This record gives sequence, C-alpha cells and structure tokens, in this order.
Amino acid sequence: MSIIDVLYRILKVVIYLAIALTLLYISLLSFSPVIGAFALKWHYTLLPEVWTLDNFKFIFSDPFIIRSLESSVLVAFTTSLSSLVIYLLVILFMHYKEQRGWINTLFEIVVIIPLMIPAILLALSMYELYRPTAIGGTFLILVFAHITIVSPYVYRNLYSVSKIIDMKSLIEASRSLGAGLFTTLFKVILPNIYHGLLGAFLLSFAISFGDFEIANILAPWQYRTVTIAIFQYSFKNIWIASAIISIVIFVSVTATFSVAYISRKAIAKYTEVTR
Amino acid sequence: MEGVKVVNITKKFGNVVAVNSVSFSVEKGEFFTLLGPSGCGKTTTLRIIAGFERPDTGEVYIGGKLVNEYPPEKRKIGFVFQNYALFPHLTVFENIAFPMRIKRMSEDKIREKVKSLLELLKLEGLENRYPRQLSGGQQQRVALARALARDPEVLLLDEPLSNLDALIRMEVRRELKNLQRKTGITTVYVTHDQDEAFSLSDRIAVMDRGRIIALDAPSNLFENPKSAWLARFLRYKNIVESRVVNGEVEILGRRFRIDEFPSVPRDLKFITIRPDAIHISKQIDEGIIKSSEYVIFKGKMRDKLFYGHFTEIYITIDGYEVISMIPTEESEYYKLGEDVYVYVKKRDVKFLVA
Repeated sequence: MSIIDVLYRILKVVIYLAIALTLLYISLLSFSPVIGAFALKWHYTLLPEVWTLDNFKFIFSDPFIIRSLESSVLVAFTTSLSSLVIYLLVILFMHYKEQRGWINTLFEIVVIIPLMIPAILLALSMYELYRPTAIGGTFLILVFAHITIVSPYVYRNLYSVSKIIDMKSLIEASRSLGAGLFTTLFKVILPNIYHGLLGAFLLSFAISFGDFEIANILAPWQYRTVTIAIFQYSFKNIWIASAIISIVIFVSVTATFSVAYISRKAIAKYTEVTR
Repeated sequence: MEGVKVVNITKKFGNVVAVNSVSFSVEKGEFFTLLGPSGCGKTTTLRIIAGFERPDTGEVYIGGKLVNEYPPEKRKIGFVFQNYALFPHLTVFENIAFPMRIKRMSEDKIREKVKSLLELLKLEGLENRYPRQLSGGQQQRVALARALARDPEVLLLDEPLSNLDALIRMEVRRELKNLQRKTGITTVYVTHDQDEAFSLSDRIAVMDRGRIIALDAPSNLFENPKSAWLARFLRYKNIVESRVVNGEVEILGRRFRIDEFPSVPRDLKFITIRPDAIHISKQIDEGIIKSSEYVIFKGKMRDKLFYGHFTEIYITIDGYEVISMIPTEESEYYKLGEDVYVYVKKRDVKFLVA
C-alpha cells in the first residue's frame, strides 16, 4: 500500500468522523429537550435520573399552555393560508398577464428583504406602524408580521413549482381552449400545484409556529403563543418547558419531512411528465 | 375570404423591436407559414394573433372581425404549443374534452366528438392514458385533437414538430398536411425548419429581425430568392459576389453580356447557383459548347464530401469556390487536383441585389 493510499484512507476516516460528530451535535441540540420532557429529576447524569409523563399531563391541563397552543395554531394557520392565497395570486398574475420581467425581478428582491432584516427590527417597525390602527393589539398584527417572514419560503416554493409544471404554458393552453381565469385556476392550475401548495403551507406553518422573537413583541396578551409559554416556563420549570419544546420540535420535524417527501413526489411526477 | 389578417403590427419588448410593421393576410383554408431563424419575431407574431401578446400598434382580424381587444379565450383559435402544454392531471379523453366542457356541451355530444377526433388523429385506444404515458408523437396528436375540439376558425401552430425526432417528424408532417386538407381549416404555422415550411405550406412568409422579407408560394420562394440572406437561409450554397460593369455581368471571374441572361438587376451584388444545377465533366461536349443555353468555366477539383446517394464536389474557378452536387457513383470518376469543366444553364444563375 502506497503512502498516498494510506493518506487517502486517513482522510476518509477524518471526514466520516467529522460528519458523524456534526450530526451528533445537531441531534443532541435538537433532541435533548425531548429527553428533558420526560424528566422529573436530571442533574449530573447522562440521562434523566427519574422519568415521568407528568410534564405532558401538565401541559394538556394548564389553561395558559393550552391557550398558547391554540393561539400558535390559529396564527400559524391564518399566516399560512393568507400567504398561500397572496402568493398564489401573485404567481398567477405573473403568468396570466403578458410576461413582464420587471415584476419577477421586483418580487425576487422584495421577498428576500425579510431574510436580511433582523426579526426584532421587523417586529418593532410593525408595532410602530400598526399600533395606531385597528389591527394594533389584535392577533392580526402577528399574522401580518409572520406573512412577511414566511414570504421568501412561500414565494420561492410556489415559483419553483410553477416553473416545474410550466404554468405559463398551461395557462395559455387553457385560455386558448376558451377557459377564463377562474376555470383555469380551479380546473388546471390548482390540480397541478397542490403538492407545492401543501409544501409551502407546511413550511410556513412550521416557521410561524416556531417564531419567538416577533411573537414576544407583537402578540397581544390573549394570544400569547407557545414559544412565549416556553420562555416563561423555562424560568419556572425547565422540564415542562422541555415538554412544550418537544411539541414544537414534533410539529417542525413533521412539517419538514412532509415538505421533503411532497417535494420529491412532485418533482418525480413532473419530471416524468416533461421527459 | 380572409381567415386571418394582420395589418401593420409592431411589438416592442423594452428597446427590442420583436415585430416591426408586419402585415399579411391568410385566405380561408390556406396553410400559411411564418419561417425564420430564432428571434426573428415569428412566434411573437403568432402569439399576437392568438391574443397572448398585445401589439403596440396594428390590427388583427380573425374571420373578418377585428379582435385586438379580445382575450385569447374569446378568439376562435386553436393553439398547438411547442411543448404541447397538455394538462398532466387529465387523461387523453379529458384533455380533448376540455374545451367542450367549458362550452357545457352534453356528455353524449362530448363523447361523440372526442371519439371522432380520436379516430381522425389515430389515437383510438389511448383515451384513458395520461400525457406522461404517451410518446412525443402521440402527445403532439393529442395537442392537435384538443385544439381542433374547440372548432376554431384558425389553427395556430408554434413549432409543433421541433421536439420530435427526425423520423417521427417526417411521419407527423405528412399526417398534419393530410389533416389540414381533410378539415380545410385555416392554419398559421411557425417554424425555423425550411423543409417543414416547404413541404406543408401554401404560402410562406420569411421573417428576419421582426420584418417579413419575402412572402410567396414555396416553389417561387425557392426558385427565386431575392437576397443573399434569403438564399443563405434557404441553404443555397454557391453565393458569390458579382457586379455589373459597362453592360457586362461578372460571374465567377468572367464577364458576359447582360442580354445573355434574363433580367439582370443593375444593383447586382451576388449571384447564386444551386449545387445540383452545377454540372461537371472531364471533357466538354461539343453540343454544350455550341449551345447558347450554358455558361462554361474551367476549374480544379479540390475536395469531395460523401452524403449517401449524392456527393458534393468542391471546385475552384479563378479563385472562387463552388460546390456541385452529383450522384455518388459519378463522383468516383473525379480525382482531387484534376482539371474539370463546369457548366451551368444560364437560367439557373440567380441574381441577388442584397
């Protein structure tokens, strides 16, 4: 065996080790709260000294936590549905009307702005902007802010799907066959992009459900979200906070895997169509 | 009667003039082709007729009716896209039935009409398949059937054969021509492929940089290209510079009296001779020398390229290179570097002004 082969093997082992350690680190960070959710006593040991399900029992019996879960679901659902409707109409408009490159370029820029501005700045700006209006102090202000932060993900997701299915051609084909806007939307477009819609919905739901920075500033007292509940319980009882975190993780992981699965299915379906 | 009439349409995208003052009319039942290289404005013109693009100026008439303000769904058109744009979630039957369902026709009528279209396009037995389960040729026929299902006044086809491989393209081309003859539908066809245009069309408009530069029947267009650009585009190979000097025309380095040729333009810039009209011989026949029908040159054979039944022979004449196309079995008599006589009928010399 030459020295090159030996070096190559050592390098391979180092790379595998680095990958394994990275995965382990991410898993520990992500899933240690899940283990903590089942702990009654856990101080100086690798795993909890006393295991229990009482943390979950408490979560589902405490009115504040239940209300925070309901608020998070309401805000995340309203955000996801509203952003889908908004960006579906935008994408449809882009393809339905004569193609205007500047609209695409403008949207490409506008939707990435939330990625560049820190969430706390966005929240404070929205607070100042909407405080004197009717939606100041309602859960809608949080929905508006969440629609802004999910925009890049929803827009990009829907835009990619529209490109995969060649939405422009489908719309034009439908119109050339005598169909108007609504027939085209309901009979041609929606049946072909429901994978993308579902993916964008789940992604936006997970982002909205897991937000703390914006919710902490904008959520009115009767709509405190689950992440605020986590924050508050982290000072009182870390294991109950861990149980709530594990619910958030469950929602996010389920949404992420669903998005990945749906996207893979959609791409497989449409690449077969266009092959 | 006019099927389609386009009057002075212009369309700009930003600073780019895609279509520049284009006018033409297509008779009812005519097969009319817009032919040109990529980016010449042919597809934009078709899309303006369909209503997918709005012209900056000009008018579009379909069946004698001004349709500028009508959206595509209100124009009586059938459009076949380059990528077919079949609805992936619908079966062949439902794709074809789509325009009839929009019109809310009865189920019996829909079944009857879809059946007749499936027969016409030879798609029987495929009605329950999805587009992804069809070959390119079958998808193309479904797209045609779907476009015809709306009973359009005009059928618009945007390079519908370009995604098919060569053999299937030839087959579908014939089917398309037969279909148009059978249905008698006014057709506007867009292509960059000369063979397709010449074999299918009643008339062809050749476009370049947004303008129509020639419009004629295929045979006239092919026989008499008016410019060097058109000749090159129509794959004429022997295009050489020429001029008129003191009542004489210069052809391949030799001068001839103008009156020996039919209609030589004074502003002549080039001449062209089709390779199949250039004859070669090792010894010149007495009859040809005496005939006033021919012009004769002496050249040297430089190269030959085999193309199956035919072979191209490259000959230099007084510094000019010309190509002759002869049957392959004859080409074996000629060796590289040999002197050959080249003779061409005077009427096969085409004079080009630009």
